[in-house]
Amino acid sequence: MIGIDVVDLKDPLIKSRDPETFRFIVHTNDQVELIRSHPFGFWIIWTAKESVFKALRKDIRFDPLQIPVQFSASDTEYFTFQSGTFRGKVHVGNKYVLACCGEVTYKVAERKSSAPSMEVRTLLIQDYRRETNQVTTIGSFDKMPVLLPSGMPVSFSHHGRFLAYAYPLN
Amino acid sequence: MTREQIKEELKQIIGSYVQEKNLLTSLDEKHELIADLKINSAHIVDIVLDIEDKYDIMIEDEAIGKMGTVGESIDVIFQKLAAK
Repeated sequence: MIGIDVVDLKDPLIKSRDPETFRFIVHTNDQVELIRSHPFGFWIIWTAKESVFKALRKDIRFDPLQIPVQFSASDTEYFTFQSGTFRGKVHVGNKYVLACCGEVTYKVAERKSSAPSMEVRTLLIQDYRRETNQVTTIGSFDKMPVLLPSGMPVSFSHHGRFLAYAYPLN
Repeated sequence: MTREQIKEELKQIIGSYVQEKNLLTSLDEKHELIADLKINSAHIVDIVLDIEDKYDIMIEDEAIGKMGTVGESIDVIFQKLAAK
């Protein structure tokens, strides 16, 4: 399964995440030492966990302390992680942090409308049609988004100025 | 402080993060912060930090999993204030 999460680093409503705030999201079983000192460490961990949560595709509440993550490698922009059988990658850009869980085709774009949920779904439908020459719509299965008629799981995220989608690579 | 007073103050706090302000007009304790009020999950910790500042309390590490609804958030604040 797959999941995606994006956070707009310039959202004016976001308060600074000092090291003290890590207690809300980091469990003792997490391996995040590579990340802790990063200026956007909180968001790297947060987005990784939320992308895993979405990949789990369970109709439950997101609780970052219940989603273990182990970060294993990093360079200046990309951080790889594992959570159980899930693997993923976090990209830290100048304006956003984006996490993808699973092998995915994904896109992050700047929001153009005041209805980001609708906009990101429309974007995926248009892009998917262009890429595959297949007409699709967005539906749900067990309250989770899927492409119809194939039933392929998809994942969406939007925050601030950004929206993102992901679907399985193959 | 009454539960209703805390609810009103909580409404002010979470109001900053609710994009569709009409969702606040009939705020109910059963409302889920994310699913019903459409607060972006990225702001849940902001709300917890705002609550800590507002009431000069320290919220437990497990808060995010326990403060999913308006009522649950009031419960946490109420318990912390009672323990002060």
